[in-house]
Amino acid sequence: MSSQDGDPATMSIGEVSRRTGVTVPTLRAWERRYGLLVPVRTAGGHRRYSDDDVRRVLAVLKLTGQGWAMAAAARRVAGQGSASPVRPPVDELRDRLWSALDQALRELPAGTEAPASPEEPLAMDQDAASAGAQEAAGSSGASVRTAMVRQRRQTAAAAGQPDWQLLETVHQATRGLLYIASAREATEILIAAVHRLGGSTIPAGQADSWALPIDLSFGEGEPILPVAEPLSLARMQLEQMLPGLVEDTRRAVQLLRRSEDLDG
Amino acid sequence: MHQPQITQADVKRFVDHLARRDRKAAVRQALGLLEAGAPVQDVVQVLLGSAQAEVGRRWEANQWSVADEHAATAITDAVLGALAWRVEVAEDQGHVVITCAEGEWHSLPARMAAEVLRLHGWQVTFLGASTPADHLRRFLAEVDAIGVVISCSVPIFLSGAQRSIQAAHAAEIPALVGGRAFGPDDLRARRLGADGWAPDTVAAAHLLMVWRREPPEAAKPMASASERESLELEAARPELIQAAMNELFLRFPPLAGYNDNQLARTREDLGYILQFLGAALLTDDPRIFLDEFLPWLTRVLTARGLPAGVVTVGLEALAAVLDGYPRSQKLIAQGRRLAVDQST
Repeated sequence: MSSQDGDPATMSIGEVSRRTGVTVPTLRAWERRYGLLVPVRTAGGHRRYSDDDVRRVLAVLKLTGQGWAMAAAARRVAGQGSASPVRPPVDELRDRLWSALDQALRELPAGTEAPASPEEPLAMDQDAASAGAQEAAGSSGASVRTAMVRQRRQTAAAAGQPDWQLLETVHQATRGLLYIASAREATEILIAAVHRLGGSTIPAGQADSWALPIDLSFGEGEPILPVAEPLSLARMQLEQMLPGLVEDTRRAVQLLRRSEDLDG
Repeated sequence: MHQPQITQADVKRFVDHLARRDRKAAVRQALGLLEAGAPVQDVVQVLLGSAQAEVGRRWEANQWSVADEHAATAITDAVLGALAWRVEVAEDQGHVVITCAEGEWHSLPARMAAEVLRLHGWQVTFLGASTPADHLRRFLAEVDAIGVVISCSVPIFLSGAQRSIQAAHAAEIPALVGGRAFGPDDLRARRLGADGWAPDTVAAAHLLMVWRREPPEAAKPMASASERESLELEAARPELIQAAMNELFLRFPPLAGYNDNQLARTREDLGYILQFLGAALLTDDPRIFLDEFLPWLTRVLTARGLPAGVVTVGLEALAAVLDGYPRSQKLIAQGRRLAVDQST
């Protein structure tokens, strides 16, 4: 698969962590952002690492010890892979597209994969991530590069938004659902949340390709869809937060209707 | 015990309620069938399932607008919610998580599956439409589940389904896939690395029972030789659409008279062609493009007053710009032959 040479990949990420003294979340972040580690996957989908991976981590530590910025060090080391393939294996290509996508759909800080180090500002990562991905994509990757540039733009935008604002928006909306007296009020709560997430709403009859195909009206009144420009920050935030919120709202509306049935 | 069959007439009446946007009448009819002794499973799968198929057909034939479709779906959804309270759950079979594939916003089929599985005694967590794979991975890391059911209706989201499957595997929970996007057999499911495929919810319930006794061996994705090209196609889509539009201006003179909205729709259609092409390459299953997508697109466009040859023209424009995408070229060539056969 994607092992750099004959060196067998047998280590777990925990083992790499023990050998290098770098914590597991940090190693994962380096793998994702810079492509510094190049695991192979077992049949069960687990990642396995080789001595090469350990060597690259140690090389980065050495450079940062000499005062190199993390991103630059990682780029340099990842770029000098012993046998960087001209056309990367498809697994790697896929992983890179996906991790760029994950970067773009920047997640809430659930504490699982915090920034590699506190002194490393988020904004810097974007350059490194796409640069690393470009290098790895090699000469075949002109088209992949274009996508990376596009995603990088989104990521840079997303990084500017503190995640707690998203959480607060969803939290407020969810609290509001506890007090609704009609399905219409539930829809209003969702519409307000969509606006706070940077989107707007449109009657389904006027929907175009900017609309997300998720109806906020729950069968009462005209269907209403959220709208946001493709590839925009608002779009990303809606795609991230809305599915769960709409599902909770649907549940609230069901409970309300049920209690109305019982009362009536 | 006598169990009333749900008939075509019942379905027709239900669709009439949808057409009039009469939620209460729809709920009353479904609950009435239940009280008359119809099994919940039949009410969900036969009544609601057939009605939704009809909703899709009416949109396809341009009889119903997008708004009509959404309104009808919301009502079916409300009926499903009302049925859920009447379901008496049998013994506890275990916990199962249901989600839509990343990018897949059609959540009604998954919600119907969730209710039927509840009926079969499963404790179901339904995550909703289009769960980002990374959310799914984090959620699964915290729960214990016999399996994750991943629903996908439209083939262009099969790459999202692949991500969802891998999220399940990262949490070491087996992934069961289903939905129209996976087609008539398990080929696409296997290519994407799923641990199981179910043609319907009852089959899914059976498979989960098996997994409860004995978890499956982790599936190994059948690497598809054309996956690379599908990834490259995906990454280059905006540029390819633009180039194909330029070609189209040369090949399809009426385009010059199109307004902005019509041009935007044309771009969208070219984008869909590329996305379905990508899905066919990802799963190495040409049926997605040739048997499912192209006939559907032809029906949809002709129902909206476009000439039958317009699909062929679109395919020719794409063929002209897809240099360096040999597998796509081959599929497009096959598609053009099909389109020509159909229009003669």
